Amino acid sequence: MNHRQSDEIRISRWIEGELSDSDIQDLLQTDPELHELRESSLQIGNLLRQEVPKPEVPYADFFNHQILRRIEREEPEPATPRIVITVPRLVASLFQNQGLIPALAVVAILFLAVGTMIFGGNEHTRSMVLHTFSPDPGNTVVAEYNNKAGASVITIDGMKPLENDASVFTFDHSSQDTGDMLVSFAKMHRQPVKMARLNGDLFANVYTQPVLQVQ
Amino acid sequence: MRAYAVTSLLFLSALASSFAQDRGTPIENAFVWGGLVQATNKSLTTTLTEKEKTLSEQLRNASFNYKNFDLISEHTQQVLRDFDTWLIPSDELYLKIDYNGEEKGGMNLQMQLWRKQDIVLKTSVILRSDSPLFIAGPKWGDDQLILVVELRDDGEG
Repeated sequence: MNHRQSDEIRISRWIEGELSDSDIQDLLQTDPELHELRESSLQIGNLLRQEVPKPEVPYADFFNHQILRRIEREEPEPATPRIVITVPRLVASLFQNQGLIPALAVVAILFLAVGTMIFGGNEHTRSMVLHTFSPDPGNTVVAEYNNKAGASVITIDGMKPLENDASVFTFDHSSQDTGDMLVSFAKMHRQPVKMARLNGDLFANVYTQPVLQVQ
Repeated sequence: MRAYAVTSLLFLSALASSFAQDRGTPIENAFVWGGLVQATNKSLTTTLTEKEKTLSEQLRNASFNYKNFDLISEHTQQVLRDFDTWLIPSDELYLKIDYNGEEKGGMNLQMQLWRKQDIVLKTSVILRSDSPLFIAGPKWGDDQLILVVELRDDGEG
C-alpha cells in the first residue's frame, strides 16, 4: 500500500468518525480543507437518509431465507399417544383383541398371493432372455417376454430379407445325431435325402442323393 | 439347385464333424427342439397336428401379425453337457447351443443363431419346459421365418 492510499483511507475513516482529529493531525495541518470535506460528506449522507425511503432489506440469500422461514414455521408437534405407540405395544394390543389375528393373517396371505401372482410368481416356470445382441451392427435386437404367448420373443430387425421366390432348404431329421449312427435320414425342403456317415471316418464319406424309397 | 443343396449339406456336415470327435456328455431327459416356422397370411395347404395347432396359437398370441404358421422343418437334439449342441432345421437359420448349467425348472443356455455361414445373434437364455423361445428371423417375401426353440424331456418330435 503506498503512502497516498494510506492517507485516503485515514481521511475516509476520519470522516466516518472512526478516527479523531489527533489521529490525522499531520494531514489536517497540510490540508485544512479536510474539515469542509467532512462537513459536506456528512450533510450529503444525512440528506440521502432523509429523502430516500428506507427500503425493505432484500434477502441476501433467497434459498437460505426460504429454508429459515420454513424452519421457523415448523412448530414442535405435540407428543400424542398415537405417534409414540411402539411396536411391542401394537403387538400387545393385537393379542388383546385375538379376533383380529386370524383376519390379519388371511389378509396377509391374500396380499402375498396376489403380489406373487403379479410380481413374477411364474419367474421360475417361464423362459427368460438374460442378454442378447447381434454381431451385425446393422441389426437391432429386441427381447421380451410375451405373457399371452407364454414365450420369450427375440426380434431381429435389419436382417436381409429373402426374396419371395427364394428357396429355404430344410432338414427334417428323422433320427437323432448321437454320433455313432451310420445313416441319418432327413428331408431337404420336404424332399427326402440320405445323409450317410461311416463309423471311424465320420462325415468323410458324406454324400447326398435323393432317396425316393425312404420317407 | 442340386449343386447348392450338395454345398449346403457339405457345409453342415463339416460343421457337424467339428464336434464328431468329442460327443460330450448327453444330459438325461434334456432335449432341445428347434422348429423353423413360416409365418404367413396365406392359407395353409397342410393339415396341422395338435402340437402344431398349439404352437400356432402361441405364435399368433405373440403378435407377429400373421394369420398362419407353417412348421416347415424341425430338429431335436439331446443337450450335451461339455460340448456344443447343434440344432439344424435349416441352413437358413440354425443354432449352436452351449450348456451353461441348470436353472430352476430349466437350463441356462448360450445360443448362437447362424444364418448360412454368419452369426446373426448371440444370446443367453434360461429355457424352461412349456415356455418356448421365439426368434423372429428374416422376412421371406410377404412371409417371415421364425425359429422356435423348446426344452423337452424326450426326443420325440
